[in-house]
Amino acid sequence: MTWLWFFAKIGVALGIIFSLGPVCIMGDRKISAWIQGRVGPNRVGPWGTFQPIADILKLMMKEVIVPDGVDKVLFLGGPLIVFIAPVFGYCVIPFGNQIGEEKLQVVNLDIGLLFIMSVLSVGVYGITLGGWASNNKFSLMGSLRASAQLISYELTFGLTMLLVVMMSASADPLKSASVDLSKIVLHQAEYGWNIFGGATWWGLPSGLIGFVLLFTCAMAENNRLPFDMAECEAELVGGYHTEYSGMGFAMYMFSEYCSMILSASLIVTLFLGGWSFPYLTDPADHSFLAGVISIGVFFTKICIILFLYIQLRWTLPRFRYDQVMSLGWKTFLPLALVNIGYMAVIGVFLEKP
Amino acid sequence: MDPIFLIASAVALASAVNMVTQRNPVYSAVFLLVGFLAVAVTFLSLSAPFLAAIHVVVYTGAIMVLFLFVIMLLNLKPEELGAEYPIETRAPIAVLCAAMFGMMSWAILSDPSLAIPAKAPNATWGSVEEVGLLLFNVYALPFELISLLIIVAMFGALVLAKKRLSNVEATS
Repeated sequence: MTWLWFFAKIGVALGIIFSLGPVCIMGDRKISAWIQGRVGPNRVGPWGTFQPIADILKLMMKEVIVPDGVDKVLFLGGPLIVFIAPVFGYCVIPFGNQIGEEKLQVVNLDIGLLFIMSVLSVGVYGITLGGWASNNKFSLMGSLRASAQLISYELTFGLTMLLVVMMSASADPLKSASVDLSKIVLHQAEYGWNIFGGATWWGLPSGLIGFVLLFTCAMAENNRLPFDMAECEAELVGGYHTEYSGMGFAMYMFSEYCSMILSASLIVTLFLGGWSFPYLTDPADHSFLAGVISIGVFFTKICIILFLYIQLRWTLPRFRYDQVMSLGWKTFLPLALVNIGYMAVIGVFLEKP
Repeated sequence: MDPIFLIASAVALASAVNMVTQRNPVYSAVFLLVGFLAVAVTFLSLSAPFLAAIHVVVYTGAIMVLFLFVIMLLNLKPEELGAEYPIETRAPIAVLCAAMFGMMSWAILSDPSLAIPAKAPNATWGSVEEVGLLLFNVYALPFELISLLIIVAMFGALVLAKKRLSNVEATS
């Protein structure tokens, strides 16, 4: 029975990624058309909804071209690394409440938050190595930019996660802080979402700033448009995937959406209360129906965040490279540090038993 | 012994050997990366999850990205790497390293207090909470001193890397 549960949970987690991935690709094209006043893809299936399937079929049929002078092992391995990382990271995301004795989370790690951080940081090697192996100056520039960007934004990313851990601690001095993601969600279900400051209204500015920081850093780490310095076509042809065609390119593209979904789930889990919603979910209710409702709530929240992601992509112009760097180091890092300091002061002075 | 520990340490050793023997620096970096991940798995199997996670975040997430960044930025061609050292140079170094390795393993293996216990003393041993409590209670002073050391090192790096202001103004 436990094995059945295990496989069912893996199925749901993979289902969220692999069903939302094509939906994201489709949404990206439809929403961009909507924003730009175009029609968008409308030929394949009703309203063009089968377009992603047609896209993937086309990419699968295309010849995989391995150009002369590339480093074959890393050239073919790069897309694999970048594809595996987000899927791996999804196994610690709590995508629902408990059903009976089973927590709706593939594995319940004590080090959940740290695990996500390590997985996210390993993902960039796919981009870096793939770009280097292409033996192309533009690809190399793209991969160098990707690694520089990751290092710059990972600091703020980590500090914001620390903020969440501090918020999960400050409400109840008897409960110690936790990096266990399911505990972070339970805390929010009980005391209020972290974006509104967790347990105390004094934390409101801290929570809002933290949310904006995490959202932007996640965008920068996924190389999404205002931050897609690694592939910006105006300067670098196609960046790290210039030399890729067929499935290699498809895996880079699909993994970008997968890591977007992972980041969206992380944002929802850390700041927007995970699977909880006032009056709709009850942390103490472990029935089957409540579990399904909690999965639905989580799924809806991810979709809203993904919509924001896509909308921002088509609304904001791309930053210049030095602007990305100075934003990361001179604005976000100090802001995150001050934010943590503020939360620490609140935690010490207001929450004394 | 735990089979996961055995497999992970075998992978770590194999990738360490590969890292040293590769000609291409990027491949060396990749094997070092695999080695780091394998070492993290050995930490996990020795019930030190916090250490494993931090090992991956710090070493593979930050330090190796920087290493790879520099290696790729230089992008050395095979002819620029230079010839291999002759066997007369390599043999004594190998003997020296082997002697050091032997001495260290003798010292470690002969001390019973350093032996790996069969299982962890309790369930939460090595967890984030336990490590945090130790760091901020028992070892608070050394911990703060290390952070001071890191700040000093950071300032040193800044001073070394910073161009003189007059030069910057002259070029811009």
